[in-house]
Amino acid sequence: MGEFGDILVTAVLRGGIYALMALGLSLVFGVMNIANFAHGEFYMLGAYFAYFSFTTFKLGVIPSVLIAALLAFAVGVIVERGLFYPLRKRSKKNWLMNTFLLTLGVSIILQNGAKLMWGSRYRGVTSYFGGTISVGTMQIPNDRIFAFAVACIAIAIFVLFLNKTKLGRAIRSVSMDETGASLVGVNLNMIHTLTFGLSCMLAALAGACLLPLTPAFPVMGINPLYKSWFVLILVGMGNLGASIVGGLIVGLLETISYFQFGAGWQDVISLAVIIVILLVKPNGIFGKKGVKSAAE
Amino acid sequence: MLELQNLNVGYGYLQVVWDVSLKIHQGEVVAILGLNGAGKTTTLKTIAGVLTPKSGKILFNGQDITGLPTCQLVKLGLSFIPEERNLFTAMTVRENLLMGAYILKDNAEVKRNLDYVLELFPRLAERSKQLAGTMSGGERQMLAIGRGLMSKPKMVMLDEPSMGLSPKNVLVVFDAVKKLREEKVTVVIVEQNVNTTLSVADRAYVMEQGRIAMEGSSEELAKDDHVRKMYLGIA
Repeated sequence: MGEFGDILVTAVLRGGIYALMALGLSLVFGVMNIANFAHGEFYMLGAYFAYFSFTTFKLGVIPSVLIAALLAFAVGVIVERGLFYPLRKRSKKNWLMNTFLLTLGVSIILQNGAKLMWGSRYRGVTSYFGGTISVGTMQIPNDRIFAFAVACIAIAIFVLFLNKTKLGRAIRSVSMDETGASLVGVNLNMIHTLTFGLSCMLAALAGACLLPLTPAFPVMGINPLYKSWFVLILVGMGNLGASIVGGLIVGLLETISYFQFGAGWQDVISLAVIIVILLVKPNGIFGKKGVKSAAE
Repeated sequence: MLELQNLNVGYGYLQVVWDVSLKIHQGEVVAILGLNGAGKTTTLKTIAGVLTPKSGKILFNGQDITGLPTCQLVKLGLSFIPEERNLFTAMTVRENLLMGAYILKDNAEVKRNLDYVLELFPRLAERSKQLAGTMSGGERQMLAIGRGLMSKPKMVMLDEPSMGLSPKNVLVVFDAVKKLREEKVTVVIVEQNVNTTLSVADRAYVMEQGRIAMEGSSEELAKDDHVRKMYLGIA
């Protein structure tokens, strides 16, 4: 194993969660054409929901995580029905810009709403499972393995859902051609609401299973939001399959810079790489002009 | 089966379709002919709910469907196959066809319709695993028609199906229309390929500058001096 192995293991554990976050962001961009800057707030909500289920209501780990995901799905549905749906009815002009501003507003409201309701102190749990497991020379906390496992399972289920079920196929069809989708009888409003809810659910899952590692606080969503945007810009917007790979690439990049240059440098290195990639390939590594999401 | 009453449609301030009324009966193949910009496609798109009329009524089987969202019309048995095809380019041929049967709940029925479409266009069966975006124009048109038939519609509206196709593929497409006619499916077909269209249609409407200029049976129109001069290029 040696140092190389350590880097690889750390990178994969990190990257799995990034992939989970980026997948939701990419989905909403591909299907609804919304650049969602409130994605991190659903990560935050997931962490809070899991915290209260786990500590206040004394539910087990898995029920807490599932409840967090379901509640975030509900919040996502309410946000979509209450904000984006009326906007879509009224105007489609400047849609990308208008929805971008709308998501910024949602982000501010959710952050401050959380501060108002739960205060700005850290709310965390020391551990879900406790204990460590040794991989090569490293001791890895079980909670990290748990988070990674949840990310993998969620991504696998989600990709299967998109590719093998009728509803999943309908979501993909809307991302490729809205007119075509409505011509075969797909209800666009329903698909949009469902997509937004699912995206919020994926973000909340990430927040919920990382609770032992990062405690819940109102502005905790900013960092994961930037990370997921980083992934999307890196691999190309709205390409679901690529955002999974992208999550792992970003995980690897950060871990290498962490090991080589020390803590604090990972963002510098990552952002420098982003700039270079945007200069050379403005559509991202896997980005092609005009090709939208397909999780093949 | 389908009736338009004094339909007026436009884009913003520009009105394209003026006071169009027409009637299509069960089991008929009806052509709408006209030059570019005559308002044929706009009329079809309005019936399909893609555009909303400024005034007028659309009745389908006696039910008022004016302003109904597109996704509900398929459930009533009305299928629109647009000129742009609107295929799902990153999906396989098979997935595209299955999406065409999205509204059907019964898997056995989906299977039956899939077999039917693959028999109609054997080419699609050979290409079932290929991505729709990588196919030739003719194959894409077959796929668009196939997808439109997957829901077993009562009425099919075809917008310029022969556009940009090779003569061989035009024949394949019109053979499919003939087959639908034998099966008593109502077909509305918008075309610029007047000669071939009149040979498969029972009746036709001629649109000029957004209005219905003429109507009549295919034989009558094919003999009409104005039609021969304007559309068939025969003096």
